[in-house]
Amino acid sequence: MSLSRVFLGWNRPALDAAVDYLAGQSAAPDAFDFQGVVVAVSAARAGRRLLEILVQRAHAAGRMLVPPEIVTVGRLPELLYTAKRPFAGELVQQLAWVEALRRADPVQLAPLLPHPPEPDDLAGWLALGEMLGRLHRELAAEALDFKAVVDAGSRLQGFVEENRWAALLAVQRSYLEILDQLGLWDLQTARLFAIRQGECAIDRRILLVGTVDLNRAARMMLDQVEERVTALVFAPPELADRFDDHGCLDALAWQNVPIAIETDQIEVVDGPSDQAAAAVRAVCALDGQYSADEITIGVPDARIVPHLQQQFRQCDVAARYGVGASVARSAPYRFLAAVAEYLDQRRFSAFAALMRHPAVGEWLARTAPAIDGDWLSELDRYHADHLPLSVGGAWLGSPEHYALIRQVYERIEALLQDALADSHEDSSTPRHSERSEESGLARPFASLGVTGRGASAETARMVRSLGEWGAGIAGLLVAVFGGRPLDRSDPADRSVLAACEKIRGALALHEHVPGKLAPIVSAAAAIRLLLRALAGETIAPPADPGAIELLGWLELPWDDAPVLVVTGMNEGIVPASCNEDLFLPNQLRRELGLLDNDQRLARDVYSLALLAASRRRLRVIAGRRSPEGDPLVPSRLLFATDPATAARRALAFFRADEAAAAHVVSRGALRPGRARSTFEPPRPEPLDAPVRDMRVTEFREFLACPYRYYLRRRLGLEGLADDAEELDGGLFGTLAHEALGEFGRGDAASSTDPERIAAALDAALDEQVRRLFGRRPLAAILVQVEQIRARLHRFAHWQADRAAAGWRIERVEAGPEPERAQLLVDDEPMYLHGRIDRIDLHEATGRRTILDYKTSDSAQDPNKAHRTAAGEWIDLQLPLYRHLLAGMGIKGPVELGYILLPKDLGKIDLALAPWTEADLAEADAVAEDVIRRVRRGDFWPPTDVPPAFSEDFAAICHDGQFGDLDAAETDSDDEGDAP
Amino acid sequence: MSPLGAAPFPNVVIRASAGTGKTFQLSNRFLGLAVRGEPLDAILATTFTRKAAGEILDRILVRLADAALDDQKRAELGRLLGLTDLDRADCLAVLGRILGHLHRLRVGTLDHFFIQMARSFSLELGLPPGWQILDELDDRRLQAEAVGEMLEGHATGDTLRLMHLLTKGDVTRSVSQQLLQLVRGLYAVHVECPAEAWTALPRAKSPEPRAIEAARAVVAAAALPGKQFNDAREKDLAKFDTQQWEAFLQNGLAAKIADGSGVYRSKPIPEAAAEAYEVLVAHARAHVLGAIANQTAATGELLARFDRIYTRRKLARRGLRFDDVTRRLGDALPRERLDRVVYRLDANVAHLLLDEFQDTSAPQWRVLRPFARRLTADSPRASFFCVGDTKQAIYGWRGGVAEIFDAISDELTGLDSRELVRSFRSAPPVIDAVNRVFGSIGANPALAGHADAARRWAGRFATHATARTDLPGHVALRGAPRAEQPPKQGELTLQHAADRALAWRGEAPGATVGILARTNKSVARLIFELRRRGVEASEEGGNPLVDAPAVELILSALSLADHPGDTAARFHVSKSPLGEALGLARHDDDAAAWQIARQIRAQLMSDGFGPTLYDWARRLADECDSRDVGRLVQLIELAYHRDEAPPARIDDFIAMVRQRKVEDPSSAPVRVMTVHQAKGLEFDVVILPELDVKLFGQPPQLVVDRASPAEPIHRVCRYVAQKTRALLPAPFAELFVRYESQVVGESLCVLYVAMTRAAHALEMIVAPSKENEKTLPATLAGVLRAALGPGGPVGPETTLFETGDRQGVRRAKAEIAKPALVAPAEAPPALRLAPAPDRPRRGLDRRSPSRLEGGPKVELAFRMRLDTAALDRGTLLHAWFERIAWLDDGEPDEAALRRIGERLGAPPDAMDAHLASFRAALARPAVRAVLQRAQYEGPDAIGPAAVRPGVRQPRLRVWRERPFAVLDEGAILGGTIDRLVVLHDGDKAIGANVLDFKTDAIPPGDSAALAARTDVYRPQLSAYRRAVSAMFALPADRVSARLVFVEPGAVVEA
Ligand code: SF4
Repeated sequence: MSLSRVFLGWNRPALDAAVDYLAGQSAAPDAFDFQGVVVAVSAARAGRRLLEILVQRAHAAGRMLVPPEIVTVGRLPELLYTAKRPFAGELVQQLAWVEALRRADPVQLAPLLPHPPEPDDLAGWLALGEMLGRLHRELAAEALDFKAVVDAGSRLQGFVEENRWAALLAVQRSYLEILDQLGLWDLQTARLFAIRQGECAIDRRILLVGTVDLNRAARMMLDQVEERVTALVFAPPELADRFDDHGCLDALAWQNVPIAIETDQIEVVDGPSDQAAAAVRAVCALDGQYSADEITIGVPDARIVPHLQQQFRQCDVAARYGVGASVARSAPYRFLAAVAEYLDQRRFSAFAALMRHPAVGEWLARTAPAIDGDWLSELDRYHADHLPLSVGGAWLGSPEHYALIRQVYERIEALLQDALADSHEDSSTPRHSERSEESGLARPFASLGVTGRGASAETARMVRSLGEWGAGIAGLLVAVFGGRPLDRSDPADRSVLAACEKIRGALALHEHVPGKLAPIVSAAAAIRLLLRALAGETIAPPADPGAIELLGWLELPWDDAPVLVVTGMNEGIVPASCNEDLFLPNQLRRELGLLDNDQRLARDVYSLALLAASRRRLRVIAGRRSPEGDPLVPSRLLFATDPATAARRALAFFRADEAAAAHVVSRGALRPGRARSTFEPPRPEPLDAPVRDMRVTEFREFLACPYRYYLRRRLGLEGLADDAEELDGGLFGTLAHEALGEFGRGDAASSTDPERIAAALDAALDEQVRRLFGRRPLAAILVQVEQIRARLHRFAHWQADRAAAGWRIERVEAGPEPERAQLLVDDEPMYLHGRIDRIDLHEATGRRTILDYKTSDSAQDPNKAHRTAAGEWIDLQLPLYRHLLAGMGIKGPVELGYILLPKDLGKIDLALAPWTEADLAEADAVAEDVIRRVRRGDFWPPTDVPPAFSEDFAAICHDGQFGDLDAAETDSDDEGDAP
Repeated sequence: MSPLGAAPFPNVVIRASAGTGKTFQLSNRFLGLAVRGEPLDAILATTFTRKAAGEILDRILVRLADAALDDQKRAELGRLLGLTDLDRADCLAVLGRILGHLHRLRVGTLDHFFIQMARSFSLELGLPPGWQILDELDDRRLQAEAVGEMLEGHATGDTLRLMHLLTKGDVTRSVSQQLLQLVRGLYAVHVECPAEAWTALPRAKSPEPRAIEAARAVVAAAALPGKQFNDAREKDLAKFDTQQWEAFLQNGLAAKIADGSGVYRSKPIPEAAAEAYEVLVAHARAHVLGAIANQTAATGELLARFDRIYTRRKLARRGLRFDDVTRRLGDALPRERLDRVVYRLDANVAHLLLDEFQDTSAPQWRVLRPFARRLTADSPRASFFCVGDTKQAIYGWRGGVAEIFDAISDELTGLDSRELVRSFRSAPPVIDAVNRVFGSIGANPALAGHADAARRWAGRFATHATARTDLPGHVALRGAPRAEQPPKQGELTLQHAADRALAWRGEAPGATVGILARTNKSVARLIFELRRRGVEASEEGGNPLVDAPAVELILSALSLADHPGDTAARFHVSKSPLGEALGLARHDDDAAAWQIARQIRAQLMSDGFGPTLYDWARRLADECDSRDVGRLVQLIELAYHRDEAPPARIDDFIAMVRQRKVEDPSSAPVRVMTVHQAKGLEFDVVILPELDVKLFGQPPQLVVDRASPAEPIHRVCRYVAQKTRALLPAPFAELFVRYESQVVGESLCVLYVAMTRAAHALEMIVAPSKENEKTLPATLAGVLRAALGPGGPVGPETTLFETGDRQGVRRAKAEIAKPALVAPAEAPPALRLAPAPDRPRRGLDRRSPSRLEGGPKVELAFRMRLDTAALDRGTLLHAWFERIAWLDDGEPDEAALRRIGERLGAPPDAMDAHLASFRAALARPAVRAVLQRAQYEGPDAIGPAAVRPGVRQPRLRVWRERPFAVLDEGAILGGTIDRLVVLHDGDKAIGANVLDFKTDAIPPGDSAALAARTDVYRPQLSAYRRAVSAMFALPADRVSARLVFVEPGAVVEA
């Protein structure tokens, strides 16, 4: 009548019972011989653990083991029939769906897909392909096609989607046709065909171990070989009527079943780290009675895993999450991702990211001729000076500043060239060349090849059929990661190896895509497709018998550790539910017999009941807040008890204070060493050598904050970054100053013709731009240059008037020879240096004006810039210029002032300082005081609120404790005055 | 459930003043519906924050559970729900029903509901499958990238033109930052604006150039009365000639013509001149209006350009913002039938419960409205319930449109309106103060310039009462100390507030204190000042972790890894315990920095941020106090979290830490936040230190107008200064008046929200008056002074108003209510485990012999061979060899072989070639021999020598593809053996031979290649031997293994 069911009870772990059963089945006296047995388990880890137990049993008993074939239930069907055709892999299926969608009549498709992706949006199309594939698989697993949905819908009240399903049905037919033409099958079709033909057969015995939710297709197949099938059910025989003929759960029978968990086994805490802490506490509470390998932590919500790993690590206990880390975290994956970014347009930022991949550095240092110097800093400085958009054009600046990075760049280019451009010739796989002209995908996606402009930009422009990139990509990895043999026992090597093998597997699938479906893509696009396919894959961590295991919810019933702590027992996770769906809302699922909310609940109730019955120690933890901060509620399962107890639990779990009180975080092994932190900025140390000279611009910084002055000027510290997207105040000023300086030295300097002056400034500016930023600067810089130009043009008018009024530019960017200008303080000279932007002489009167260009957006006159409202000196630059003049041998009275070049063109003008001799004497006195303090090394303490120039020192000075107090855009212009 | 009666649920709008129990009302409604048996998934209850949503559900369940367990509470609930006969069984049953439907409850945020809808309509909304809501930081990055792309994609001249229009002619330094700021600020406007709105401002036509020229000549020559007139004309013309249009229109004779008076210095302007002036004024006006129109249109153009790129990037990332979802739904829903929505959401929405309705934005209401309309029309089977308070509408800038609340009664039919004014939160003095301030708000002299806003606000306010007459309370309005320098006054006021908080901590240690500021900047400053005073304070919503020096230190080490040349970072690290740990002693040691940077990058790549940072934190903990450690722990948590999807650059991680706000877990008794963040919270003591801000503060960039509150924007205009507004057409000029009034109204809402947060005590601090103060300032401080103060200027450190019982508050809050939550001194629990067993019991390593080839060192090049054809061929040949038990019994038949080939996917055209090569292999003598019994029998029999003596005729047993699994050095060695021949003496195994087929392409006779491959395979074969010897309990020397290289036809002992 049907397959046989064996009820093995649930008062001990299911696997133990299963092994005992198996052992009893082995005929041979001296061996556990399961030669003719297939064991189907519902989860992969259960299969591995089952074998582990069998091997250990056999070993302990001194018996030979002929292991059964252990498969997950998902793989079982393929043992039961012989497929007539090769299977289409996942990628091929997706591409076939895409092709089917694209072949469809847009009008007919509209109810399904009113906004199709752009024709060249391969990723967008594939996402749709993936989605339809999933839908198709889910239905086919229940032996249904899209037609069945249309039929079921007609029975359903409120079903309003006939057109949509009709469109889907058409696409599905087309999909199957496409595969058919290619001589391929998808797995689901093959199974359904076998079922229909009654072809299922097997000459071995099948043992189903706890497969409580077989899909309909699997059940139909098993029915055809039922006399060979035994289902082991882990529940007491009394509950037999809660299971169907296949040993599967009868969903309705499990709906309102109490679960034997006491309230004090349940803990409801706040956030994810609190859940982890509660799990740690639960293990602590075992008080050393169990070893790590007897403890399992359940993680239905994988987002808790990092928190658990962190907290157990802090207690020096290893916690192993068997699922492992995503391939996307591995070095090879990230290398390829960086390469794809770089190949796209050879952006400087992509180059900078690629260069920071550790494997690249290692490769450069290892491969002859080795390059091993600090090319990163050179790269950063190059960026800071030239803000390049991309690499590969002309190099800017002087060659010694880019020697190293140029070498590095050329090596990288050669590497890519060798691997991606040349590899092709060797691999002469014939089937790729016969890529047919009528291919649906080939044409439109060709535009995915994006052009670049590097030395080997052909690689970027080159497009090929997807599979043809495989060898090149593999070769790239071999070149970079395979320079030395990899050591399996080294964790880093192990991960590289594992990732490379996954990549190899995915590349092999690319190669298997039939020519008619293979899209034609650039190397970058091929890599992205590869990475996309791998993103969901994981690399299992190495075995660790001394670790506490972290297991997902579906694995838990098939684990045998005596102690179990389950975290994440929250609604939506256990059980998961379907509350909205693009295609299959719950109602329709129920109608079609698909996995619906009732079935999910049944499965989870059964699992928890099984766990509660079979573990020696069980603790259940739920959170009230997800890692993303969303409120969570405890699982319905935790209220599966008598009404009064449920009410008491509700009160306990949902009362807000309770959750707050549980917020106490167990801090693991990180313990504060003291009552008050001792962090403070490092005290200034005595200077290596006495300070003999100072720049006139330094004084402002000292006055603003002696400590930050010390860091910047005395220690010469600077930040270095490569994230600038446009000219900062410094570079903007430099550019304007350079142009103005050039003008001041040229013939136009004395002109009274604004047009001529403007022309000279234009020429000077353009020259500087070319020198600093090359022929194709960032667009933002081009605009900024125009902003400077507008200011300079307005300046030209001012300058013409000035010249007409009899002022002549006497000198530009002038300063004294070293040790010629000084301030005598306490009988010791302090040499001053600096460059004066410009000295004007009035021909008729012999008056002189000492001028500084100011290019910051806001126009601040000299007095505001130098003194506070209360008259305190905060800058001494202009007053100290007097001493520079003396050192240059220029005597006589001078006026001091700024030429303001702010954003408001109307304010471009001269601004003279109003100071009297007495004021200037006061300024000198302040300068002397600064000099004395500098000599004494009196740089402490830092000021509270950080001054504008000190962003680089924010970390050292703990500016962060002010929050974003100093977030104001700094608009300083220390042009031409870098330390 | 029906016996409990099917009382109708009226459609209501409840205006609930602060503290009057909005949540309570909402939970009543929900419970009422649940108790009367309404399907739970037909009740949709939404609010705005996730926290509030969580609280509503908690409230519902706790009240029901309470009622189930406690007779008195049940009676109370019954009374509130109008069900006098509510019994315990009913309560338990309803509770059971709710707990059993936790997955179907729709109590959540509006955004969540919208996302749910949008997910089930992704394709209809043009969204990519699997889209997600963008993380805020990712979103910001996308915006920056979009601005970059926008710049790169347009000609410089084009961008310049836009920039000049946007900056009103200024030539600013920054371009990308400037644009980014602009689009960030205005994107919300853009998405609600159809394109026409940007060009709604009409342009005036300028007179003909010849007419202008003529008019100018007339003006210049006109005879005018007196010198003043002549001087004014000169100036006017100068401005006209230099194109200073606005100045021209605002001064002199032109101004008088422009405003229509025609009278200057009480003398009429002569008619001929006036007529000519009209022409010039018209020209100037056309210019000014044109400029405004251009700037507005340019802004629209810029935003549209940005939006195209930004949207494309979002979709490519499959990321959306909440407002994208809302907008797309709002656009699509009118097209979609509600029944389709209902179908995909799997439940009808029969009862809508909306919380904080005043914060609903126009786009949100557009989505909700179809539901609301349907439900109100379908009464009593359906119901509509909304609760809110327009006095607390402080999110206007974010798109909340309080006016919808006022307009809702017109939109929906049959709504009951109720008003709640009895507070369950505040003590009488607080409520009195609120009444004094807002009861007279319409006549408040500080609002003299904003009479319209004041009047409208007064209309919303009804006198408050309190149920908490038992609570002691205290309210004070004080002047802060006077700052020496005027710009420092704000800072000093904040410092004073910190002092006041310190004082309250001393007087009433059991009280929670909330300091509510207006800006984030002030919040940071307050935190700093409080910490400086030794008061632990936490910021609502949290701060970036860099407020802890230990975190900064770790970030410096990370900076160093990404930028070895960053000497500031080097210095920071070298002077810390990390310097020692990492091996960086001096900041100027370039070589060391380079090495360390490489090392850290490699470690981050292999271990991830979490473990690396934890390592470092361990080194720092000794220098840390509990707060620092707390922040480090959070940093590590963040790092582990980030490791799940590691950033492309270390810099990205650093930027993330610098930006992400993380709440300090030590919930300190003093909490600092902006008033906006305080919404929904209450404190025993509330201190308001930032009241001296203008009622109408920073002008916005744009002002917008809607036909009705829920409609999209139909007019936009860039902000125009007061003086120029007169030039605008009337609807636009009114727009500004309305806008100002709205902003001022919102300022008053902020004050209302701030004051009503207080349960016991409210302390408001204002700056002392400026010396030259003549009138009340148009600030919140001015409003308070007028309503509460004695009048006249405020002196430093004076009390302007005080009421209530300060001692009473002290007494009531003398005790520390709850012990501090985090006890830093408490040692964490020690984690003890039983010792591990001698032999591992689980998690055994898996080894498979085939993976052992080449030994422990692996040549990647070998592993990465993509030669799939070769591998397929190997599989095929293995499958064919499996068919052969003994060749002596004949070769496998062709048809069977072909079937196998087909099953394995061998291309039909290649089958013949493969078969031929299989047959050729079988023909090779060495290969042939190993498949024949004679090998094991005759005098030249191969196999373990030890087998031979004593046994004349061993029994042979052959296995093909023999699976095995044995314990081997603490691991499980498992796999399959291609061919295993075991020699038996009777039943006893006496020897065994392993055969492994290899299809490597080795040229016949190339013995070096053969030897090399043999070396590679040796570890694999020796593993087979170990396995076989374990399985059959055979001594090692009784098991031999041979490699069968089918290609050259060589068999090698291995
Ligand atoms: S501002 Fe105009 S007129 Fe003056 S120099 Fe520049 S382009 Fe010539």
